[in-house]
Amino acid sequence: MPSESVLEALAGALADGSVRTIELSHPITTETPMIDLPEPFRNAPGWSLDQLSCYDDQGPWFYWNSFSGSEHMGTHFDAPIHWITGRDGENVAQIPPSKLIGPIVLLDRTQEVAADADYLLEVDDVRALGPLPESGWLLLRTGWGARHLEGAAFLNQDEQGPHWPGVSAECARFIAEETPLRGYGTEQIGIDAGLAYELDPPYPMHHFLLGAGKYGLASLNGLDELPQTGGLLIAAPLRIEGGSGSPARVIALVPAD
Amino acid sequence: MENAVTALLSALASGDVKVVDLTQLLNEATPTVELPQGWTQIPGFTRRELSNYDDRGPVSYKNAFDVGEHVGTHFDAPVHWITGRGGDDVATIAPERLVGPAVVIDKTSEVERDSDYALTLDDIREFENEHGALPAGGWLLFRTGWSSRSGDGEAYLNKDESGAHWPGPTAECARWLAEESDLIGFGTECIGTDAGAAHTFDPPFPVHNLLLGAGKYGLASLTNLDQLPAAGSLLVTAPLKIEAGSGSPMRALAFVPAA
Repeated sequence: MPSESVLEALAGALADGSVRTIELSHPITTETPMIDLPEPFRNAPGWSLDQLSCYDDQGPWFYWNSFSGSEHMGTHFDAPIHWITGRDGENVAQIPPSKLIGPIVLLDRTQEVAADADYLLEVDDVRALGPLPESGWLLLRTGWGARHLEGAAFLNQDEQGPHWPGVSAECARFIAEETPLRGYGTEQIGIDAGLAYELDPPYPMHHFLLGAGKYGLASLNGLDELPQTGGLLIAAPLRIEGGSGSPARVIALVPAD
Repeated sequence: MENAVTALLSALASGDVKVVDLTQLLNEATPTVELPQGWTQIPGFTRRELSNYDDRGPVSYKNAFDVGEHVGTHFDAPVHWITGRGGDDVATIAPERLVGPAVVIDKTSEVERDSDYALTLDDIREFENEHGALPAGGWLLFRTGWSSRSGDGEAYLNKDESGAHWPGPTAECARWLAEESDLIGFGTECIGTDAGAAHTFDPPFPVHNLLLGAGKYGLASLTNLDQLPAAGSLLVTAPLKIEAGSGSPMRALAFVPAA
C-alpha cells in the first residue's frame, strides 16, 4: 500500500470505529500513589495542583493551574539515563519520535499475581511467547491497575516490604539483551518488583533494560482492553530537556473485534 | 491479517511512514505568556534534582518539577475558557479524539512580512479549493515559521510599546472554525492559539472564546510543521491526563508519508 493510503486507511478506520484508541494512562491526581524507597534513596514529592484563576478576578475569562510533580509518577516513562547503567544513554528529550511507537505483545499474568503478589516473570514465560517483534513493547498485565488510586493496596506494604509483581533478574537480562524488544511496560508503580532491592543485581529491570538503552513504562491502565498481539503503542512523555523520565500519556491503537 | 494498524506498523518499519516530533523542548528557558498586571501570571518550568547517581540515590538520576498547564508545546481543553465551562477537561477527553487527520496551512512568507498577520476565512476557502475540505474530526495547523523564535523568549513574544505581535486567526475565521467546520481543533507555532493582539479583537481572544466554547481544542507552541504535508498526515496529541486540568504540556507527534 502506498504510504498515503496507509494513513488515509487508518484515519478512515479510526473514524468508522474499525480501529479503536485505547487509553492506557491513569488520571494524575493528588491521590496518585508515590513509590516509597528504602534508605538511602530520596523519595519524590507527590502531585499538587495550584489554581491560578477560575473565571475570577485573577483571570475573568479563564481557568488554569500550575502543577508540581516528579518525573517518575503516575503513568510514566523511564529513559535510559534514569539508571546509572544507562547514564551515557538517552534522556527523555533525546528519544527519536519513531522510538515512541511500536507493536504490543501482552502477557497476561492476572491469575498468577492474584495467587502471589510477589510473582516474578521468568525467561521461560517470555520464550513461550515465540518470536518477539522488532522494536516492540512487552506489556505485563496483572490486574493491578484497578488498585492504582487506592494508595495502600497499590503499594501493598507489610513489615517485610512492598509486595507487587515484576521480573526476575535473569528474565530482566534476557529481555534487555536477547530480545529485539524496545521496551517493557507494567501496571505496577515501577518496572521492577516491590521486593526487587533484594534481587541480584538490585532492581534488575532498571539495571539491565535501561542499561541496554531500552525504555520502561509504569502505572499503565486499561491493559484488559488490549489483544495479546496486533496493537500499536504510543508512549508520549513530555519532552523535558535532560529529563530522566516523565509522566506520560500512553494510548494504543487496536483493530476492533 | 492486514488491517489499518498492521499496515501502519509495516510502513513504519519500512520507512514509508515517518514520525515527526511537533514538540518543543521543555526547559527553564521555555517562554510563558504575559498577562496584564493584577492577574496571576503562569509559572514557567523549574526543576529540582532529586538524585544524580549520588548519596541521594546511588544508582538513579531523577528530578521533580513545577510548571503551568499552558507552558511549552501544550493542549487547551474547553474548560480553560469561560465559554467552555462545564466542557471537557484534559482528563475527560475521549481517547479517540487524541488521534486524527491534520492539514497544514502555510503562511510563512506572509508572516515574515507582517508579524500581526491575521488568518482569514478567505485563506481557509482558498486552502479548501486546493486541498479539499478540512478533515472531519481533524486538525487545522497554522504554519508560520514562528517556532524558529522559540529559543528566544523576547523574539517569540515580540513585544513593543503597542503590545505583543504574533499571528493568529481573525474573529470571523475563529467563528467559522468553531461553528461551521468539522474540525476538532486548531494548532499553531505561536505561544497561544490567538494572535498577540487578540485582546483588541471582537470578541477578545476569539479562538479561545469560540473554539473552546464549541467544545473543540487548541494546540500551541508546535514546531516542525514544515515537515508536514498540506494534507495527509495523522496527528497524535498527548496531553497529560491531569484530573480537572484546563490543559497540559504535551507531546505532539505526527505520522507522515515519507517524501
